[in-house]
Amino acid sequence: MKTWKSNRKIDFLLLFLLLSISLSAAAETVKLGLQPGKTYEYNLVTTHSSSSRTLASVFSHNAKPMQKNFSLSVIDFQNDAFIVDIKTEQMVYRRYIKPDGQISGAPAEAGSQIPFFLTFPAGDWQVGQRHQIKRTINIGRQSFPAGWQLLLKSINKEQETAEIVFACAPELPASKLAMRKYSLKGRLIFDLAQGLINQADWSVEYSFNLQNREIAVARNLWQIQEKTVYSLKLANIAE
Amino acid sequence: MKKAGFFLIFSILFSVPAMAIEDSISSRFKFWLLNNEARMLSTISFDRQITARIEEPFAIMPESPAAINISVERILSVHRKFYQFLDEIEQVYQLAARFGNGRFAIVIKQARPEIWAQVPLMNIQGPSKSLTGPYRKAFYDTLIKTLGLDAQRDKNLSARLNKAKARLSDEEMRLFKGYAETFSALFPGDRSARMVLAFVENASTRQFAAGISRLLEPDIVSTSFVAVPVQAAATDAGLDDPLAELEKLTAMTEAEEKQPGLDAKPVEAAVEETLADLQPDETETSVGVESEKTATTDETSETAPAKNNASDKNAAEIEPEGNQPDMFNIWD
Repeated sequence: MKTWKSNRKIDFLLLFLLLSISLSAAAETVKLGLQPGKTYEYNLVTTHSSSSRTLASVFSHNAKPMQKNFSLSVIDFQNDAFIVDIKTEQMVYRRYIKPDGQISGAPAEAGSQIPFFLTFPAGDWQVGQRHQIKRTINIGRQSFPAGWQLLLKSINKEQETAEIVFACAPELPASKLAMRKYSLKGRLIFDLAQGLINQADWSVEYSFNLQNREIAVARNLWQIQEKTVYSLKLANIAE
Repeated sequence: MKKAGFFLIFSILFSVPAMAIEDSISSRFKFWLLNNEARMLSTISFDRQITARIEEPFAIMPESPAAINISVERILSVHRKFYQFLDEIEQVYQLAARFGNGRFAIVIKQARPEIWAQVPLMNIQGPSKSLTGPYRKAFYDTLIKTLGLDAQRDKNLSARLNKAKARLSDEEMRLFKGYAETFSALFPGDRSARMVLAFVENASTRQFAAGISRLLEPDIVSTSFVAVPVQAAATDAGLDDPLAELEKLTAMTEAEEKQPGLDAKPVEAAVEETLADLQPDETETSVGVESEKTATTDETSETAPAKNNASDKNAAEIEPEGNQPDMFNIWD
């Protein structure tokens, strides 16, 4: 009887160890690991389409995919931030980026104008776990809540990559006559070994419906929809 | 002197820019569309300020300019065509309202301002036809320009309206009508959009505002001061109501359309009739044509009234100086 009890304890202990091992295997720390002196070349393809409906007339347009190349030259890593120069054909931006993706400084950009970038959670991130970042976006004297929702969808052990899905739906000003909706959804492949964004695809949808209302009469005037699809790929790493 | 004063008052009245005239038929509809456009653009612009902060989610990316919404641009370009069309409708309507009944043309023929303008020159230089003629024509051309008229463009207002209409495709025209109907549904008490539609429909299919063509075909050959009986024109019901023809064209109301005065004698016919009574004008015109062909002004001046004697009982009264040399003949 005593032997059975001790065996059972050992079984539970083994099960607990197995579970903890399996759980620790499905968790990773996602953080940027840029190397100073290296230049990372990225390729961004943007496809924009729009459609506007006014009464019975429909105007639609599908733009040709637009390709843009930019490079990320890592100068140094100081005070827990990578000092990088982001170079495009027209401009160069210097930014101080923390390993979790947060920006800690941008000498050439006005603080209030710096975009709300998504950041990765500090420490281990388990598969299926959600990560949320909230912030308010200030436009003039008005502020609007916005938040990034991230989910670690899967980890590919062989390729040492993590698949992360992300979404953002800021609250646009509400109006009965001007109804609008914005949503951003995307997927990111992160190179865990090198600490790099390998590939990211996301789409942005915006719709706007303007009504005219006078006493009891309401008429739809314009319905505008636009969609932009972004595709970001790491093209090359140069020393 | 009385005629000159009469002319001066009318010039001031008719020189008011079209946009300043309160009874515009297109401005409220146009402003409604413009206001909606402004609302749409400001909303999109404001939303873009928010969305631009999240459109590029990674700090490693540079900023990109927002994509231009071409479909909205297309709507706006169609709207620009509508605004041009509305401006054209408004101008045509205002010109027809101001000059279409022919009253101003009659006033010009009564007052002969081009002769008055040459009086000082005549005193200095003497009655030289070749010298004063071009000045008289230049005076008249300037007068036409000052009134905002163009002889080629405004001779036929219906054709001008059709030309403006032809710049819109069928789909654009449907959209224009759709907007006008939406405006009318939203603001049932405001008839301006309905008036615009009715005006476009009716005025583009038939000739109207015949008086304007008489104003644009100047009769500046004769030196005679035309003794037009003002009462003859004033007694005509059509001329007393300068907007009567336009009211018919814009189909104001059924009740207004069925007014006995308007039904019995259309304004255009009334103008024709009144101007027919002023036969010396036509006589003078024919004189001008003849003199251009033959360059024998004196003889033609005598023969031309004779040709029209049968139909013009007032010819003698209007052309008392038939045998005298025409010192203002600019065609010599």
